[in-house]
This record gives sequence, C-alpha cells and structure tokens, in this order.
Amino acid sequence: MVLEELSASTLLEALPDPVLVIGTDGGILGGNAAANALLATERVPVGGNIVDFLPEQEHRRLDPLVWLRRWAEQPQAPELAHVWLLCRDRNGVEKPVRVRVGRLPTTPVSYLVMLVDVTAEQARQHRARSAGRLAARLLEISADAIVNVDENLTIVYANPSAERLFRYPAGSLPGQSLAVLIPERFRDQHQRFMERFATAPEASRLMGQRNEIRGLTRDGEELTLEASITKVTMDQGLVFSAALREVGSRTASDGRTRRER
Amino acid sequence: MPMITYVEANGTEHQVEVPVGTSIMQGAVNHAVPGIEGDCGGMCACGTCHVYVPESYRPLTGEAEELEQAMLEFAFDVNERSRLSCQIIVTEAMEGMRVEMPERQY
Repeated sequence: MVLEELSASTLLEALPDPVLVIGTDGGILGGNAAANALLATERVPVGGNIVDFLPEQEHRRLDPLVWLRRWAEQPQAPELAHVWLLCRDRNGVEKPVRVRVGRLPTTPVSYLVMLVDVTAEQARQHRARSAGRLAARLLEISADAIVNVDENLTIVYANPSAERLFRYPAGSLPGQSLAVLIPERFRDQHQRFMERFATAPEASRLMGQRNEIRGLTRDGEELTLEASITKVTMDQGLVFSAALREVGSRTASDGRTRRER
Repeated sequence: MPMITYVEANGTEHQVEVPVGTSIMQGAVNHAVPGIEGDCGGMCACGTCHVYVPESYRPLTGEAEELEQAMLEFAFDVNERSRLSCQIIVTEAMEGMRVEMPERQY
C-alpha cells in the first residue's frame, strides 16, 4: 500500500502510542485505540475535553492546556524531555505521562497530542536515584579516603575524607592527575602497578593483600597508607576506585597521624 | 568556599561547601542532598530543583526571570519565596545561606 492510500484515521489507529486530536480549546476531536487503553475508555470521547483527563493538580499552578498550546508552537521545547503531566483515566487512576504536541494544518487549527505513560520509567528512575544517593552519602561519611580515577589516572572523584587526608580544599581534586597524591620517586612504579592491575584477572585487591604505599599531601608531607583498590567498567571506560587509610592512625577521618597528636 | 545549608522538608539539615560560580542545585546534587533532583542538569527545563529562599537572602539571589517563573508552574507548593536552585549561582556573599526544600519535587 502506498502512503497516499492511507486515511488519516487509519494512520492514527496504527500508531502504537496513545494519540488524541484536539481543538485549541482542548475539545477532543478524535483518538486511537492506544488512547482508549490509556484513558480507560471504550471509545475516545469525542466532544469531551482533554482537561478531563489532564486535570489541574493540587499544589501546582500548572494549566495543562496552556502548556499544550505552547508546545504545539514549540514542538522541540527543551522541557518536553523532562516534564510530565498527570493523566487521570476514566476510573480515576493517575499516571504520569510524557507529552508531545504537533500542530495540524487544519482549519480551524487542531493539535495532535501524544501521551506516553511513564509510570514504570519514573519508578525505575526513582529507585536508581535513591540507591545512588545512599551510596553517595556513604562515601560522604566514610572514614576511609576514597579516590576514583579514570583510565588516564585523572582523579574523577575524591570524598571528603580524601580531601582531609591529602589536605586539599573541598572539590579541588577532581580533574587533577593522581600523580599529585604520590611522592615523585614512586610515581613510575605506581603507574606500572596500575597498568598491570588494569588487565589483571582480579577485580579488587584488598588492604593486607598489597604492600603499604606512600602518599603525598598538598603541603608536601609523605603519608604511609594502606589501600584497597577495585576496578569498574563504566560507560566512559574503566574507573579505578581506591580506599585509603593512613597506617598507624586511629582513624583517617581527620587526616592526622599519631605523631601529630 | 561558601557554606550553604540545605534544609529538607522534614527539618534535616545538610551543610555543604559549594564552589563560587556553580549553582545551588549543583552543590546539592554533588553531595547527594535528598530533596533536590535537577533532572535536566541545570537548563531550567524541568522544575525539579525547587527551593524556598528566605526573605533575608533575596537581595543576594535576585528574582526569578520569565523562563524560571514558567518552569516553577511544574513545581510543588510554590510560593513567593520559590526559586529553581539551578538558576541561583553561588557568590562569596552567600556564605551561611539557608535554602529550604519543598515536600516533593515530583
């Protein structure tokens, strides 16, 4: 079948995502089977209004129809990738929906509104974010210094204990070479160790499985450290993460050694 | 580096040093402060970094521009102290500033 033989309603019906055709006042002019499934209607209620299904929300100033009109004129608006509207189906079930709007060349003007249920996506995203936040907060309070570097041995993360141990201001370590934390005479040796570890079969080496290593503070003092190291393949390549603890210090959390006390 | 205190809706406080020139949203996200999401990464295109700025700090933070006002429509429980924290850039003068978070961002 060639495209010219397809009627608009056949095309609409074939779309896998819920689609409604509305007037500029929100009046529903048509829709497809997927829209019936989303709205829990037997037939798209032609003559009804889209705001019956995209109601104004408590605690929010948002007027959905105003935004639909705005997006019809700006179908590539950046917020469309991030915001969602609340859809309430005929049974009162609420579901977050991402929205796309197109302006149809009809007289009078009408809009094609695509609604995608993102309930599952949002739940996944919230779970992942909560888990990430928990892990991140553990790093924030860890007494051990944690330093992550990329394949080029550039620091990509240092937790607050690491900043205290090496005496760097908050947020100043990422972007610097790992070499700044290692006394010069050990840098080549350490680099070779990292190269071997990158291709070694073991994922991690724990404190006690490695010899002590030497670290260098920002003001030039050498530290004797125990270290565990692990490697993780991330989207951007291999990331090495090290947990460091000063040998002989009761706790690495304040970065002081016994002899300073 | 100015110390910013983020106060969750339940009263939990998070003190974070935030570099000058970065946003209040970025400071929260970098330190995993709950209550600020920042879905769009700071483009003023999601409304999920909503905070309340106390009256006394308003001269430092300025007022929301048109785009920010529009995006605040997507935020929860907006009032006259509401701002999107991605649009507040930290200055030295903000040392000690407190921002409060709404009950939810979604």
